[in-house]
Amino acid sequence: MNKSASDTIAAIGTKPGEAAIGIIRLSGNKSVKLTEKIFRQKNRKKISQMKTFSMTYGYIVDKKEEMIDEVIITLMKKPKSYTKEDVVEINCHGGMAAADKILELCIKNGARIAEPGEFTKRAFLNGRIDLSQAEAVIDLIRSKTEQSLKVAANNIKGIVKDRIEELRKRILDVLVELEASIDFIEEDLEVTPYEVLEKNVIEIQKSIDELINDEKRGEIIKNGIKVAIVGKPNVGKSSLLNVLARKERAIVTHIPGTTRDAVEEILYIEGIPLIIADTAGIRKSKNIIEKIGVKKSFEYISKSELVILVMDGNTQIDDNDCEIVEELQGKNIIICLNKIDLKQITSKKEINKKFKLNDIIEISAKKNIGIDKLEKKIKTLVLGEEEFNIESKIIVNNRQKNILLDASGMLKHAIKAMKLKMSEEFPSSDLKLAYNLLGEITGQTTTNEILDGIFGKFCVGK
Amino acid sequence: MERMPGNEYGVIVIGAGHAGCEAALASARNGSKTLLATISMDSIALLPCNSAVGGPGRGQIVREIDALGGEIGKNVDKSYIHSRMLNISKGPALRTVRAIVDKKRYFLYMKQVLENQENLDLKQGLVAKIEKFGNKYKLIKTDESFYIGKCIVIATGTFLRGKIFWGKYEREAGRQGEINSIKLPGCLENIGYKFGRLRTETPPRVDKKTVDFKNIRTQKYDELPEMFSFDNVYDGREQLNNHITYIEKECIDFIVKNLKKSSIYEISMKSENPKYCPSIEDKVSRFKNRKRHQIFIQPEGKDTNEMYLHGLFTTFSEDIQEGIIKRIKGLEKAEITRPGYGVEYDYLIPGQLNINLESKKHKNIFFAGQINGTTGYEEAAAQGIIAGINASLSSWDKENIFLSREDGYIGILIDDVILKGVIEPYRMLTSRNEFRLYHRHDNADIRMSKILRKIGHEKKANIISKKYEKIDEAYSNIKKSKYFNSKKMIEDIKQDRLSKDNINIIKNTFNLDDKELNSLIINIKYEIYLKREIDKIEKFKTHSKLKIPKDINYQKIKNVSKEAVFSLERYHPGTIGQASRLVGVKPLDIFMLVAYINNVSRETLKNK
Repeated sequence: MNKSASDTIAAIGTKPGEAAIGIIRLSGNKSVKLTEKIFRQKNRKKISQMKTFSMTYGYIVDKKEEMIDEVIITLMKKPKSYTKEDVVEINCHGGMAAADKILELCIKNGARIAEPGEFTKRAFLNGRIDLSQAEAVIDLIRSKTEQSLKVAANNIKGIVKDRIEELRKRILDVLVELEASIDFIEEDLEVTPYEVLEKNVIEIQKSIDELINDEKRGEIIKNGIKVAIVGKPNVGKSSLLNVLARKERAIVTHIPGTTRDAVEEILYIEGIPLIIADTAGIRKSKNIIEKIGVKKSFEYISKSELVILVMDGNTQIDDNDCEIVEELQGKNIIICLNKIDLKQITSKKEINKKFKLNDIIEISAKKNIGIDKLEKKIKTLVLGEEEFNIESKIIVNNRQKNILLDASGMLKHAIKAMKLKMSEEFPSSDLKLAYNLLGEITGQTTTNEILDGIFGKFCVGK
Repeated sequence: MERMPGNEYGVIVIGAGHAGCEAALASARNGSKTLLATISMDSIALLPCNSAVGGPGRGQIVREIDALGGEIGKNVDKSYIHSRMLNISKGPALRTVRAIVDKKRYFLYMKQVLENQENLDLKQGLVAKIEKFGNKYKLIKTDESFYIGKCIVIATGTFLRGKIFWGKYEREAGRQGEINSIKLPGCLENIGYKFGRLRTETPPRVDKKTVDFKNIRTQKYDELPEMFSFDNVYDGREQLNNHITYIEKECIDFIVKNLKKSSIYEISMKSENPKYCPSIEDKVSRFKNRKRHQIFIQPEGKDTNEMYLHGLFTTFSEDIQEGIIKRIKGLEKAEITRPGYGVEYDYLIPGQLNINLESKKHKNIFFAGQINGTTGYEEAAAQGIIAGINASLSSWDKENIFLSREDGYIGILIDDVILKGVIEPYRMLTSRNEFRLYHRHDNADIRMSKILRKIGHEKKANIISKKYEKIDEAYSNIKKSKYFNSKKMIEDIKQDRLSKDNINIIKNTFNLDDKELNSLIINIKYEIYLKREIDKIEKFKTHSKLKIPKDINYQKIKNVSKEAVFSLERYHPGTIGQASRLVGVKPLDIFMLVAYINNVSRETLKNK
C-alpha cells in the first residue's frame, strides 16, 4: 500500500536557516508509537498516555541510545488535530542539523516524507476543511505580498465557505418554494408569492456580483496591476517614475523585465501594488536600435492594464503625441501634463478637446507638483470611488470567480424568466444549476437538499 | 409455453399487489410459464389507502409502464370515477393526470386480466420458505405443498411481519382484516437478507349519507379527461366530484389535547415518522403555525357509500377519530365506517439489489414493490414490470434489461432506492428527477422504446420512432422556415398564445395530430432548458459506460475521502455514474476514481 492515506507522514515544519527552534511534524496512525521509539523522558511516561493538546519534555535518541537533541513534544490526538489524524510535533533546537537528524530517525522508524501540502490534503480528505479552505492554505504558502497573505489567512478561517453556503442556502430557500408548488399542487400550501421570490433571486444575484467585483479589486491589491508610463522622448517619464518611487520609498523588488530595456518595479501607491515600467520614448525614427525600443514599448503597452501618458505642457502637441494616443485606443489612460512649472504652451482644455480624454492631471515631476492628485486618480481608476478595505472583504480565487460568473449568469436567466411570469419549472432549472455550481466552490454538490427543505418547511401529505 | 410438470414454472411471483400483478403479466406476456401466488384470491391489486393514481412524478411513471406494455394505466382507464389534469398552471412539460378509481372495479378488472392471460396461473397460497433446488428454487407453502420455479419475484408489499395499530390496539396483520407473513421473512434472513422497518398510515372512511356537502368546496373532475394509456380515449362515462374541507382551530386544539392517545405515544415503534405521508397528529405537532389542514373527501367507488378522507392519516384510537371528525366542517354528523390505522412492516434494505432488481446474493431471485422500501401503487408497479421482464428473460437465460436514470422516472426510482437507500417510504416526485423536462408524460413511449426492441417488440418500437421522426422533422422545418421561425411566432408558442389559425396551419403543414402537436410545442417552448438536460444525459451516458472493475480495492486509491471509501465498499457500484450518486461520494472522489481506473487499465494493457 504505497502512499495511501493510512501511512504516517513526517516533515520539517520550520524554515531552513538560523532560527531558535525547529519543528518536525508527524501525522498518521503510527505517529505516537514511532515517537515513543525515539523519545526518552525522565519520568518514563508514555506519549500515548498523555492528554491531547499537552506537551512533555525529554530527549530524542538514536539507535545507540545517544542523545540527538533535547526537545518538547506536543500531542494532538485524532480527530481533533489539523489532519484529523494523530499528530505529534517535535520542537527541537534551531538550525537544520538537529531537525534533519530527527526527521531521518522518523523515516528510519517507518514514517514517510510528506509531499508538499500533504498535511493540508489530509485535512481536506478527512473532511476537516472544505475545498475553499484547502485552496486558501495553498495560497497562504505561496503568498508573496503582505496583502495576499491577509486574504489567504482570512479564507483559511472559512469565510469563503461560509459565504458560499449562505448563498446556496438562499437559493435553496427559493427552490424549495418553486419545487413545492410543482410537486404539491393540490396541497393548500402557503407558498411565498412569485414576485417576492423574484426579488430574492435578484438580491442573491447582486451578492454574487459583489463577490465577483471584490475578486477583481482583490486581485489588484493582491498581485498588483501593470502600469506603463509612456510618451514621446523627453517629456519627463523617468522623472515621473523617480518621483513616484522616491516619494513612496517602497521599491519592493526589481523584477527583470520581459524586455531588456523596460525594467519593472513594484511600488505601492495608496496601498495598491503597481508593477510599473518606464518605457522607451516613442517617436518615428530611422535608427534601428531606437526602432526596437519603440516596438518593445508598444508590446509593453498592450500588456498593461493602466497607461500613464506623459505630455509636455511646455511644447506643442505634435504628430508623435497623436500617434501614441491612437495606439492607446481602448486602454485605461491617465494623461499627465508635465512641466506645469514652465511656460504653458499646451493646456488641459486643448488636450481634452483634441483627444476626448478626461483624466488629465497637471503635474511637475521635477518640482513635485500634482503628484498627490495623480495618485488619487490612479486609485479611483483602479478600485473605484468607494473605500475598499481588503481585510473586511471576502476575496475568492480565480477558479472560484469563474464559477461565480457562471452562477451569476444562471441567476440572470432565472430573473428574466420570472419577469416574464414563466411558470416555476423555468427559473427552477436555472437555480438548480446555479446551486450546483456554487457547490463546486466548496467541493460538494447534491440534490436531496431541496426535498429535505420542502418537507421541513411545508406540511405535505401523500 | 414451456413444457413443464404441473407445479414447475419458469417464473413464480409471490404477492398479487401492484408490483406482483405487473411482474406476473410481463413474465407471462414474454412467454414464460408463470405462477402468481397470492395470500387471498380476493385481495388482488387492492388499493388499501388512497385510491388515486398519478399526479406529479407518479403520472409519468404510469405512462412509462404503459409504454412498456404494462397494465396499470389501462386498468385505471377502465375503472376511474374522477380524473383531473394537474399542474395546468405550470408549463406543459409538468402536466400530469391524476385519477381516482373505483376500488372494487379496479380489483375485478385486474383479476379478469390475470385470469385470462395466457401462460399465467393465478393461485391462492402462502409461501413460507424458499429453498435451493438444483439450479432452481423450491417454494414451500404453509401447508407443506410446494412449487418449483427457475426465477422468483418477491413482491410481498407490507406483509412481511406486518403489524397494524391504532390507539393502544395493535395486532399482527398484513392489512386490516388480512393475515401477514411471518415465516418468509425469517427464511430470507436465514439465507442472508437484511431488513429494516418502515411505517405508514391510512385515514378513516365515512358513510356518504352522513356527510353534509352543502357548505364545503367541490373539486370538479375534468369534462374531457386525458387517459393514462397511449391506446385509450375518453369513453364519455359519468364521473364523481371530490370535496374539500379543512381541519381548523377547534379540531387542531382537540388533536393537541389528545396527542397521547395516538399509537405514536401508546406503542413504542421501531420505525421513523414518515415525512410525506404524515399522520394528522404529526402534522399538527410539527407545523404549529398552520391554521388549517386540508382534507379531501373522495368517493371509494360507484357501488359504495364509503368515502375516503384523504389527509386524515391517523393512528388515534377510534373514539378520538370520531371526536376529530365531529369537529370538521361537513363531517359534523359523519359516521365512521372503518377507522384509520397505521401499519409497520419489514422492508428489504434495497442496497442488496442490482439495477435489474435481482438480488446480489442469489441469481434469479428478484424483489419488487413496497418490500424495497417504496410507497405508492405506481412505484410498486414500475418495479414489478421491470422485475417481471427480467425474471422472464432470466428464465430463458437471456440478458436482462434495465432502465438508467437518463431513461425516465422508473430509472430514477430504481437508481435512487438502490444507491441512496431509504429511511422512510420512498415516494416519487418530479423534484427527484434532474431530467424532468425531458422525462414527460407525452414522450414516455419513445423513451421506453429501447426496452421494447430488446424484448422483441420491434414493430411497435418502429411505429413510435416514426412518430417522433415526424415531430423532429416538423421542429427542424419550423426552425428553417421564414414564416414559422419569426420572432413573433416563436414567442407566441413560448407564451401559449398561438392563434387557432396558426395551430391549424402547423398541424396541416406537418401532418400532426393534437398529441404530436403538443410534443412539438413543448420542444420549442423548453428549447434551451431541454438542451441542458439532454447535454447532461450525454454526460451521464459516458459516466455510466465507464465500468468499475469488480475486484477493485478502494483502499488503494490515493486521495479518496474516508467517507467515500466507506460508501463505495458498502455498495460496490457497477459504474462511475452509480458511484457518483452514492451518499458521501464527492466530485473530487470521482475524479480520483476515474484517474485510478484509467491508470489500472493502461497498466494491464502494457503488461499484455
